[in-house]
Amino acid sequence: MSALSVFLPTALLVGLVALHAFYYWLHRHSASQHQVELPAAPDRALEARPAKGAFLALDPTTEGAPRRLEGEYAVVRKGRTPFAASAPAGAARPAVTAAPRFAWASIKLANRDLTNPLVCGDDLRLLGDCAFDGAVKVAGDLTINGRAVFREPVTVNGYVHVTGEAVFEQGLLTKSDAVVSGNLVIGSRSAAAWVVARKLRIEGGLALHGSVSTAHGVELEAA
Amino acid sequence: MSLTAQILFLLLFAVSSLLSLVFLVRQIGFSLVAMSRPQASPFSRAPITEWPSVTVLVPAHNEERVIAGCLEHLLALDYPADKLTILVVNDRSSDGTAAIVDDFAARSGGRIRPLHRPASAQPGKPAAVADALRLVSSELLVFFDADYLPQPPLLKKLVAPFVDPQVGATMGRVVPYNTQTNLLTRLLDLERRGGYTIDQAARGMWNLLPQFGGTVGGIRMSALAAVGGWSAETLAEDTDLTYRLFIGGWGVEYVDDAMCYEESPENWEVRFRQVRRWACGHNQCLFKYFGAVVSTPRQTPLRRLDAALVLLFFLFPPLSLLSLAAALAYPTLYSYPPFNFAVVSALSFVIGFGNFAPYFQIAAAAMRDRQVAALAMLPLIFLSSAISMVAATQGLFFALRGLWFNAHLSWDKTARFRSRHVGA
Repeated sequence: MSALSVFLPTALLVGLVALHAFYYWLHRHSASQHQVELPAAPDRALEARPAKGAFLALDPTTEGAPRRLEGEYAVVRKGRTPFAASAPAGAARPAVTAAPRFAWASIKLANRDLTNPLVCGDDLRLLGDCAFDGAVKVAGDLTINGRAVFREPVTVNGYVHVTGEAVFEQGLLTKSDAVVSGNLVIGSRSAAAWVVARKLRIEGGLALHGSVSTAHGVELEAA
Repeated sequence: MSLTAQILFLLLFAVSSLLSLVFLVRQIGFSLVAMSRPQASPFSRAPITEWPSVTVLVPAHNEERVIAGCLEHLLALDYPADKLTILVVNDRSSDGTAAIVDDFAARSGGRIRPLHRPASAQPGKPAAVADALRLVSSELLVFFDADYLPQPPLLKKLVAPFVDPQVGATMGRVVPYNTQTNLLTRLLDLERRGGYTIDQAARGMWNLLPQFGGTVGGIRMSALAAVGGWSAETLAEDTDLTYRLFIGGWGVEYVDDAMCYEESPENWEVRFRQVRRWACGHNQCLFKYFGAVVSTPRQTPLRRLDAALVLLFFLFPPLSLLSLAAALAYPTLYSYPPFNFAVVSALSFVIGFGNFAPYFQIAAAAMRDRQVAALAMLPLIFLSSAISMVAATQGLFFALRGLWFNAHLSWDKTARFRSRHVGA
């Protein structure tokens, strides 16, 4: 074993350590990590917007901070039957106490009333008249072809498609987009409700009694 | 050298390289997806008006240096007073913790309830929580460590995701406040950023399994009951609960904008013991739940795959160390190998663990936080990684010893360093 074969690796190691130590010495006083910058509350800037009656300024789908629109408004697409406001609802309750019913595959429900909370592990499609007294979670897409009334909050990981009529008495939260070509009722005159979505596209009718918060804006198709 | 030995070498290199590659792709994918989305949780944007009953649980063992600051912040939480109970468990403290807790309880108008565990009680945070749970009657339970400083809006952010009936637990983001103390605290701050705002956040965005971390997090009591209640059997009771919820079909929601300040360890010995405890407890969960995690019919295949990867996480450091040692030995044993697989193994390790994945992830996290200047110490992150690898390896041996010899594994409390709240 030559002297070089011992000296060279040792010198390389010492050099590496010295380089890192020097780097630390250079930056040891830099105060760059004092704290994480707390992000502004997502809706704060938008709460200053006009409230009642100011809903649905057309909003391009640009990237940026979540937007929120509050109001009491109804938009009815020409040619569609106007719909009645939903029944009075109670205030939102974020925790579910009753044991949920779990379904681990895509399901299709028609003309069903469910009293327990429902957790659907994949897509949920609703036909006919359906009513849900408990909270609902849909891990896939929620498609409403008939008429559905949700008396507790609804959470959807995927897309929400409404071609029939959907009444959300407390709230709807979707992590993707909601596309409404039928009728969408949010809250009632006696109790406000909310919609949180990445983007909300209204091609049909909307009755809003509460607020809408989106990350990518609201699109309204001209009647 | 026999053919069997050669095959064993190659197997080790293959497994190590494959895991490194999977880890690399996963972490870079997570970084990219997290950077493309806003930090605010959609649940934080839901204007909920009526809130469920919550018990905030603070286990405290010899926390006189920090408990007063924590209680001050808890009393200032923005939450309906009639729905909130603060339960402080003075867990066999021999310092001034009991007096401080009693003083705060007396002045809190009934909002703080103290529970004093005697010196003869079973030691450890999991056991303390198990005792405290007998006093909890609320719908939700939210945990804070005694050194945490929750800001007023935090609790509502942690509670809001429970509108989703599948959410069994929520997890907020832990942010060290003592980042500038020394090199270790600066490196831990970087690790924390990558772990929370990229790894946990991306798991949430892809509907995978964020981990409930045992603090700055909430639990639905009905879900806890459905999965068998609180377990004090492992040293990582938070990981244990995360996986029992997962197997039972529940989920964990990570809330990146629910930030809470904590004190990170300020010396290497404390950090070593902390990682060793995490590794030991995590591997205990691996032995208990791996089969059920990969086979549960209540989760999608992708969720099962990622949950299994996370469960294997603390097996990677010992495997990497073994692979590195083998990579050094292999060329010595085979002077003129036909193809030096050790080089492939070492390279994959460097790419997967030593370089790109964690560095990329931490850099992405700092960009997401809009604090790129925080990356000054990033080139030195290998120091804390190396220490953690050794600690995690020892933790694995502890877990194996517990598994094979039924050896008792004791809870190793993380030492505190703060002094400004003493006697407050």
